[in-house]
Amino acid sequence: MSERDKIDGLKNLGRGFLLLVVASALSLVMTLTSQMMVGQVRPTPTIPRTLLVQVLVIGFLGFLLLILYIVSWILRIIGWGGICRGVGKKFYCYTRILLIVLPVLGVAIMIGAAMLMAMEIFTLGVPTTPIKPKGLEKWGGFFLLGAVLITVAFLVEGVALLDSSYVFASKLLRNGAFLYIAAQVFSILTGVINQLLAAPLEVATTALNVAGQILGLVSALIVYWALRGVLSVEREGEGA
Amino acid sequence: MSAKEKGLSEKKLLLITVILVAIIVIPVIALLVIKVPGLKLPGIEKVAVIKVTGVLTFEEYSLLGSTISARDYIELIKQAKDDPTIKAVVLRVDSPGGDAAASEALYYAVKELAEEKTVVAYIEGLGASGAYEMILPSHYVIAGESSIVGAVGVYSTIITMKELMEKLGVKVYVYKSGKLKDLGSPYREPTEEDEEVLREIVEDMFETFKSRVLEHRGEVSDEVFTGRPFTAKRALEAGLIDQIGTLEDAIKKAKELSGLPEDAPVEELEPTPPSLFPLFGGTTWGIRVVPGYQVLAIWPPPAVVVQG
Repeated sequence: MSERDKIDGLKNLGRGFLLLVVASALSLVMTLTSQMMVGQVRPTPTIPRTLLVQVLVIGFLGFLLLILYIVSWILRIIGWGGICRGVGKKFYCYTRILLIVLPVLGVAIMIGAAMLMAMEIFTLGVPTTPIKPKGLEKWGGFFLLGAVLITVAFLVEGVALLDSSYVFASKLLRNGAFLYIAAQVFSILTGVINQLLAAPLEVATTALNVAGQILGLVSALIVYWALRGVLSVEREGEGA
Repeated sequence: MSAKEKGLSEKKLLLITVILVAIIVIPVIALLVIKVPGLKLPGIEKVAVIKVTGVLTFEEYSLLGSTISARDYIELIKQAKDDPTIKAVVLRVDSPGGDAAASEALYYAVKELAEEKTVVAYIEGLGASGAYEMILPSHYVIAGESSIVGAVGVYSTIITMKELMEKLGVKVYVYKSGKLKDLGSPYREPTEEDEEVLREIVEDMFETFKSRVLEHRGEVSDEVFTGRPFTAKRALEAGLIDQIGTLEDAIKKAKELSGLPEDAPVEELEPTPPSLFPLFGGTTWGIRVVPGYQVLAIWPPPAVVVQG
């Protein structure tokens, strides 16, 4: 057990959550902007140029979002590694391992499902009717499975945050951990509701998605804030 | 007290994790269960579309070419009937008909379906002869503007090869229990008695077909029973269809008749794709015995089919 590892771990975890805050905010802005743009008809002559600019902006923001999420994820993995060594509790080490394995597995399943679905759509041809072929529905299940695996990893991280709130005696971190866990549960339940509900409730599902994103953003912000506080206390302790 | 001892015990952490994971896994499993037909939830009632194409026959490979068996379509119709989330069915037909028995079996399957659920037929291309017979029990029939409808009737064709075989020096000896037992044989010319029996069969089957048309369509033009095909416009005038329109119109009508909202989901039911194994197993390349005589409800008449 080393104090240095613990402080480095908290520092990286804090950075990871800071990036998560930025990514969540960007994602929320993108969702709200796309919702506002739905139904807006633009004059015909400006469509190609506007479309090109929109595609470029969305592509850039999407790429930026992906990078932010990945860097945040890596920093959190490193952070939990440091806390695992610094505190010497096995649960944090398991958190680190699960945080690596489950998202990788989940994303692999989702990419595999997307590829198979693309192949199926390619075989079926471009749909020209309002019919949703039944065969495509099963891929939705695979996406959900991938999402479940990723969410389980973040849930374990939430439990680890909850435990560290006791270890570092931080009430704010405890509140943040509870909110973080709630955000994960909410996100997967929103996914289930999206799969269940039909088009009539599309507005409701969008509202649920936005609510979930806000919850995620707020929880990440509180956790980041709490970790900053914990870090300064630990640094003071180390200095003393 | 060390930092390690301040937090929750490993057992408690594990328990909390298991509970939380269960909270998210249970709804997902429940979702998968709900998706299985048999459980009814508000908001997921839908319209099913069954696409019926090609020649209607029980054989996957027949005198009429390679087809999806009528059994597959019957299976899909039963599936739609048994699925409580399906409120209405659109039969999307593009078929010249097929053999009389398969068309009749499909007719009864659609009739049973129409007793329980809303059925709208949409003719897209061809809805002729046996295919038209099949959709007769539908509550509403819509045809695409360029489709061909009708050709109500049955016929049979006998090809004889007596002279050809004589030229080849092939002799066929037939020993039969009764004079009509080899009726329709390609190895002899049909007799007057044969022709009389064959005409009887065709006429009886036509009468059945005709009675079904009258039962389901009510008053129709006499021209319908000449066996002629109609364009959609003339089919509407003759009383064979209720509307000229598109697939979207058919789906909209199905929703309207079944009381579903306009934005209710639509799902296509597809038959299981045929296995590729017969291609490698020799079935396709082997000698296949095909019946020399069939009563057909098909328009246009099939060309000579040579199968390998």
